[in-house]
This record gives sequence, C-alpha cells and structure tokens, in this order.
Amino acid sequence: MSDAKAFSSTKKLTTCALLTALALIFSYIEFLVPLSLGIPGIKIGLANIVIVMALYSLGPGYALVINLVRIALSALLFGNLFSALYALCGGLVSLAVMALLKKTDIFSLTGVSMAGGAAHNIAQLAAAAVIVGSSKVFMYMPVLVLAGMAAGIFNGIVCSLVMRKIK
Amino acid sequence: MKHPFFKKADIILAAALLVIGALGLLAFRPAEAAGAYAVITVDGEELDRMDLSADQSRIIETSYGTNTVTIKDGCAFVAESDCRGGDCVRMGKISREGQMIVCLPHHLTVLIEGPCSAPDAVIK
Repeated sequence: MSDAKAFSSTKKLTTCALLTALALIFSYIEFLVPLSLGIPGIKIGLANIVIVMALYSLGPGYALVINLVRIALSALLFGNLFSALYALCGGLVSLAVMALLKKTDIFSLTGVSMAGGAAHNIAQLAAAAVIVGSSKVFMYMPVLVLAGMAAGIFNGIVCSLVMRKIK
Repeated sequence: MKHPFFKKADIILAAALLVIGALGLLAFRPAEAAGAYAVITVDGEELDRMDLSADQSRIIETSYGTNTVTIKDGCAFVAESDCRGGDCVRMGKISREGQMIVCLPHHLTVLIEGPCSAPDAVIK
C-alpha cells in the first residue's frame, strides 16, 4: 500500500471515530434534555447531523457503521435493549432513504435530511404498531411526518453550514 | 463542495409531504363526539373497558410493567407508570372518540371508543 493511500485510510478511520464520538454526545444531550411535546417519538435527533455529514463526506458505509456503533453504545450507556431496537429501526430505514435520495443527485443535503427525518419517524411508527399490536397508532402518522420533516430540515441546514466551514 | 440549502426537487418533495401530512391530519382528526369507553389493550389484546361516565382507577399490571389508568370527569389518562420516559403520563387527558394514549415500553394503548362499539348485552 502506498503511503498516500495508507494516510487516506488512517484519516478516514480517525474521522469515523471522531464522528462516532460526536454522534454519541448528541444522543446523550438529547437523553439529558428530552424535548417532549406529549407525543412519543418527537425529537430533533441531533445525532443525525453527524450521520448526514458522514454520508456526504465519507459515504453510506461509514455512515451506517457510525450509526450502528452510536446506537449500540448509547443503549449500553444510557438506554436499554428496547430503545436500541427502536432506534435501529428508524436509523436503518432513514439512512437507506437518505443514501438513495443522495444517489439521485437532484436533492440538496437539506432535502435528503428532511426525507430522512420523515422516513425515520414512519419506520418507528411501524415498529410501534408491531409492538403494541394495533394499527391504530398510525393516526399519529401525519404529525410524525411533519415533525420529522421539520427536524430533518433543521439538521440539514446545520449540517450544510458546518460542511461549508470545514471544506 | 458547495452545499446549497435548497434545490428545486427539495421543494417538490417538501410540498408533497406537506400535502400528505395535511390530508392525514384531516382524515385522522378526533371526532367531535365525546367517547363512551376507554379501551385498554396490551399487545393488541383488550384487557379492560372502562366507562367514561364513572370516575374510577384501574391498575394494569403485565410482565412489561405497571400503568394506572384513571377516569375523571369523563376524561381518561395514565396517572402513573413505571416505564422509562413516562411519555404515556405526559400525553395527558383524552375524552373524544378516536383519541389514544400509547405506552410503548409496556405495549399498552388506551383508546376512546364511542357508545356503538360497546357490547349490546353482557351475560354473566
């Protein structure tokens, strides 16, 4: 392996570790200061700023690894198996949707993040329907889609601002 | 790499999602009519059917945990829960047909149903 290549993969690995730590800190902040408007599942999801950044600067594989490690670590440190499964559902579907939309290359980072936020909430609602054994929870769908969009747009704008500064 | 905040496709996607959301809000808005029963289910199975016209309290104990569902002045609410987060308690009072409280960690839902959904007769 050439020196340049080794340097680049070391740099990627280090960036990956840093972003994982940052995502974990964001998860912890939201755990300490929950924003609850009465409906379970409404969160800004600050950790997704990091996931979107990883998706754009490192690629979908790295974003997936960072998210999986974040979910596992936050379950061990301040969550439980239940919250981890739930987060996993939202995280995987959201990342899949974002990676696909990014590939089309017609959406901005903000649009990709917005779709990811909406997809995240829809996936978690589907998980909730299975858990409580009732499709009636889908009455929350409209509120959660709108909340997911708003959170995704916020995260997307923050992420764009940060990426403009560091590139 | 330059990152514009918005592109044309974003606006179209946002508009589509907004329309779907708004239509959904209209379709799922709770009925004006006051409900008659608070139906408690765990794992989709009906455990209890509480009459909204009588003030009462029921402790629902399952392998997932314990919730106290209370009826007061025609409103149902989760008064106490030993779940993490306590979202079900924070969801407050419900009284209109179609309104719902969910306690995800305990797999529990409290759904307000109208008088029509009650059984015609109960043979004991």
